[in-house]
Amino acid sequence: MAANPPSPASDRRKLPTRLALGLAAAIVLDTLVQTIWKRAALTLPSNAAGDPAAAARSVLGQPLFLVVGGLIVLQMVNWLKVLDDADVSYALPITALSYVSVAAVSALWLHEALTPGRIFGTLLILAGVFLVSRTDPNTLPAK
Amino acid sequence: MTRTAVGLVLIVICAVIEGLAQIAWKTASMRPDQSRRWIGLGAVAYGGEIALYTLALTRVDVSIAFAMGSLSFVAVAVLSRLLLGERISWLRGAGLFLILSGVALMGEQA
Repeated sequence: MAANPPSPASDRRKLPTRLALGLAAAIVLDTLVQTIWKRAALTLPSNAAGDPAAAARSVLGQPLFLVVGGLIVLQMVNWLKVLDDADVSYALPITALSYVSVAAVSALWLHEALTPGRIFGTLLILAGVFLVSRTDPNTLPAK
Repeated sequence: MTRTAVGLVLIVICAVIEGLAQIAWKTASMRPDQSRRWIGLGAVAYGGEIALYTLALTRVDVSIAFAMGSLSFVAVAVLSRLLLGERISWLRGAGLFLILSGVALMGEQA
């Protein structure tokens, strides 16, 4: 006996492998960019704000900033690929999970505090991003 | 003003700059005849934002700074309402309120 064809509902739920990998990469890249950027920023002199020339020299002399720049370019390329396969209103709330991953990685790698207040604040933001993403993406009248 | 407070102010400024950059790029897509000017303006704004965000990261934990960066969603909504006439539905308003609440809580935790 032949297997039943998949229902339209199950078709809708199926996440293509390429899209799943792209979304996972977006979260990983977000997390890497933010935590490495923080690591790099910590190497700047304490008077960076008052002495832009010294700050610029430090940035140019710190390879981690180059790594951040490269990762941002990768991030943009990957995001455009993700948007080839999914609506922005679908992809955006999923990648907002990087708020959680950045908090976790910065606690493990940079030893930042992970207090209940910070966790609750992150969850509030996550919920807000989800609600915003559920709204009509285009409210301007068509030209 | 403490070092952390300066960092928080820088993050708020970054969010406003990002809002302005997004408006510039949206304007570029709406006015093809002036698109170069608006895309350039947006790119300059992003350059400024990167510099200020780097300074903010020297003063504030990244788990706080990154989460508070979501304030840009609010800045974009308010600026696009004021400058482009986009609508803010009750659902979007509720989402923005949650983001603002989360950002306020994170700022208090910094």
